[in-house]
Amino acid sequence: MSSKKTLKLSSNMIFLLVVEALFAYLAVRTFSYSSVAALMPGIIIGFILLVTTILVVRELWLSLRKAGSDAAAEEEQTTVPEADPAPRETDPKVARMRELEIIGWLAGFGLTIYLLGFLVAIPIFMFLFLRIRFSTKWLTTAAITIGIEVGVYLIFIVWLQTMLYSGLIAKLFIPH
Amino acid sequence: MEQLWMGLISLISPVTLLYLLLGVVIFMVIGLLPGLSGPVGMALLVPITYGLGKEAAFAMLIGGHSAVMFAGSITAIVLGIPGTGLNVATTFDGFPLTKQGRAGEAMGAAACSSAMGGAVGAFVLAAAIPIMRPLVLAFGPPEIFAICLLGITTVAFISKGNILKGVLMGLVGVFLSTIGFNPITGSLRYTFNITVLWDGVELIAVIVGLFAFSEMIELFVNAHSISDREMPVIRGIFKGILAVFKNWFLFLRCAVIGTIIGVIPGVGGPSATFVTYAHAVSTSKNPEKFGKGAIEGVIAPESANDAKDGGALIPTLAFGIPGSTTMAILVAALLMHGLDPGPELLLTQQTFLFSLVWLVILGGILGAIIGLGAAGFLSKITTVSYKILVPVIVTISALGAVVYRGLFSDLIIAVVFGIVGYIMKKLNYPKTTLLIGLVLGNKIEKSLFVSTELYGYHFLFRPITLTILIILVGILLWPFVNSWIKKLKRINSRTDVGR
Repeated sequence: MSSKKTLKLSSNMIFLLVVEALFAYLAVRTFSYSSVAALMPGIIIGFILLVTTILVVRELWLSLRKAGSDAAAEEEQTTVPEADPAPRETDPKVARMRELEIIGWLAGFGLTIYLLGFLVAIPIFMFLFLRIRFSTKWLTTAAITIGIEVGVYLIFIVWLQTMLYSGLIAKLFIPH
Repeated sequence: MEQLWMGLISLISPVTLLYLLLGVVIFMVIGLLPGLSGPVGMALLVPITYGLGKEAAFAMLIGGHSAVMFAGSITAIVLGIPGTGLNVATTFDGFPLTKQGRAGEAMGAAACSSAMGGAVGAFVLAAAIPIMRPLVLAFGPPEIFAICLLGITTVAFISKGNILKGVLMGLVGVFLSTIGFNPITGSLRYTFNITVLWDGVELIAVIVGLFAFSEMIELFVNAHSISDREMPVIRGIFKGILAVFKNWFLFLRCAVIGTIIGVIPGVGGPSATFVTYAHAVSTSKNPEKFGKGAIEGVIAPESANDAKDGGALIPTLAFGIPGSTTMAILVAALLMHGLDPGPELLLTQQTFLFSLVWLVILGGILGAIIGLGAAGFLSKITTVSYKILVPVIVTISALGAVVYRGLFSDLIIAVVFGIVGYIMKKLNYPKTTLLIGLVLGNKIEKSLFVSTELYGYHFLFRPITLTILIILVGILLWPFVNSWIKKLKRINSRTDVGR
């Protein structure tokens, strides 16, 4: 029975291919610049493409080796009746869900800042995260939210005298 | 000598000393919090120091950072949890000492070693500054170009993951520095008609993204467990301090080793602590006691931990070559305050440089005093849940990303790099080399242009430049040569066995 080699695209391989494609595009763009402006990025992009290609080839070779050894192991096992497969661990799925969740929180926080400004977005974010998401006690939520808001005001506005971004809506409705 | 005292005098103002104290307290808290470290603290505080004078700003940053190592030691000794990666070696004997009821003794030894180790590193830095002056005068644009490349390559060589990944990230960092206005012709590159990219990718936003946002993403995803160990009674601190003086020769050797390791780009950090711990074991008359509560096992890594900072500042300040994440962020802070690390800083800002020497010493001493005094209270900070830590740090990070230029787009850059940084960590690509490439990129391009204008491509054959480039190629080829030598040895040994 011939072994079937299955090649899985690893996360690292996907990352490298994305980097390779991106810098191949940037290499084309570099030709539109003058020779002085293009010299440094051109050299750098050249080396990036070289190193990425080496890494892709290495990753491919390792994947083929792994696929080959997996296929050989599978071939041996087909002669033995298979037991019921053990239940899969859910940790990687949980991790993936949490990754998407935190990115969502960051994007949402960013959007709220863009629309309402820091001083309004911060207490909204803190309240939603602590109370709604994690059901933190009311007292703890209030203490931390108020503490952070007051701290931000005192440090950035009173002490450092920086202008915090006030949000798109404030800019539309409040005259300068 | 006069400049050394001038450096100290420049720090003697209530405001500067207050910022030093504030920096020490903030960094101590950061050093204790799970999931955070010195670079995260620097990434958060650098944007905040923008509005401060340079003495106050660096009192907060350098002085504070000198204290973070001891903060991590507190939890390493008392709870068996290293506060940072730099404190792992301290747990080997620190935590067993706590189990024997000698937590105070271990902490006294750690505090004294940290403070005095930092002083040794600082004095080496102070001694190196006048020696470096004639050396940097011999460095022209070709040598600066070569040494910048060497800095990136060395860090890539030492970093986690294979060397090619480190080199790739260094190159990507250098590429990112080319976005925006070309410093030579003034033309725009890779801006894609996005106005905010005309000034390039903002360094502070990248730092906040790579080292604060990405760490918070990881903290949230992994949902770090809370430490719930009971706090021991802290007694016998003075006995621990005396132990350092009793073992003064071991302390001095480890501090010097730590300083030397700190000088080499990319090697510092945990390497210094493990090397000195191994040194203490190998030179001890009773090596079997290590790992079971030997006070020397605390003195050795703690003295190296702080001493390495003085060493790391030498290439950073003299050549503008940062050898670690913290130093790269420090370079960003210097640039933000209008100080160009490298020959110019060394030649024109000697008083400021010596003030940094004193800040390393004062920060270490203050950190030790505060740490010892508040150890019981500070250790409770380790019980802070990630559910509270994440939104607080994300908020501070978001402010930090935006406060420097006041542009909302910097927050977008920070979030993007936060996600990129998280992916890089998962796939084992070093973030430090990317940051160092970004920090050095402009310098590399300018020195390349000036070198080619002055010497054509013959600049590559100038003696110092050529030597540095040969070392660079050697470092790149070494893993392959080493692997080939090992294969040959294996083949030879098989041949001998066959006979």
